[in-house]
Amino acid sequence: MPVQHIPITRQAIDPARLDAELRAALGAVCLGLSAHAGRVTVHLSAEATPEQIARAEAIVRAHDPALPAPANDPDASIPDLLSTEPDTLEAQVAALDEQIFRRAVSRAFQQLQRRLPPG
Amino acid sequence: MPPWTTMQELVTGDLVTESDMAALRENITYLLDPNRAEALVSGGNYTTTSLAFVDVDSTNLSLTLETHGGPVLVLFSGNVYASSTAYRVRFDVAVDGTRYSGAALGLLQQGDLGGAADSARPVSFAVLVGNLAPGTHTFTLQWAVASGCTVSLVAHPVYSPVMFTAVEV
Repeated sequence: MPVQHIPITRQAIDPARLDAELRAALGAVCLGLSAHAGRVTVHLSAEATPEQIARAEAIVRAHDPALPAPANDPDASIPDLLSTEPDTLEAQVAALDEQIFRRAVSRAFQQLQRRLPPG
Repeated sequence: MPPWTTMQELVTGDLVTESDMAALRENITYLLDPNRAEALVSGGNYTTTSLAFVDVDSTNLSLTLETHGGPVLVLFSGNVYASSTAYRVRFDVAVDGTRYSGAALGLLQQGDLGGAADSARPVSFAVLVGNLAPGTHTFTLQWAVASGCTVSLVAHPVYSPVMFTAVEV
């Protein structure tokens, strides 16, 4: 997969939250980020436009690691299968990572058990 | 280490010269001390959220080796951690810029990672890279994670450095 690497000098970050911010703003063109020794590298797909690259740089520079970090919740990426629209359920499940899928199914069963009457 | 010397092909009746013996001696010395490149990196931990395979460190974890046509043994060991046991990390080696395994999820996938740098899970691979033409080749450690994961590779100044080595065998 061709990838564009955008290096940016940036000290302390919250990687999970910054990743979530980038993905929310750039969508599928954002493949993630790497961080090491005061440098953040944003990985964008080859289709990323100069405007998207500039936006990624701006997001990294504006990132505030001190803000609350919902993306740090390890369960944040687990979809609620019971609330998913039936028309999109198959596609959503197909896109899930295996571990996330297992946890999503486990969570759905727990929700069902809580809804069922005892016995 | 001495260079590898292509030896003259001798047939019955040829005179074995001093230069033939010198080449033989140098080649034996070479075999005992082959071409290799090594990295032991401890300049601070690495973190990624990348779904695509990317270089872990294109400067310090990328090895350049001049080979004589033999296979190259590539060795990696490190320790990884994440904030969730559900997270998974994948490693591979890029040879001259192309990921060697060709497998969608790389040479090595590891889950159930330790939760912090001092309880990280060890990961390692050894792969013999063949079919290399004589010349200069680059071996680069790459990694990726499963969707929604943030994973770190320990390269602490006082413990658990990342080891990456390439040896022509």
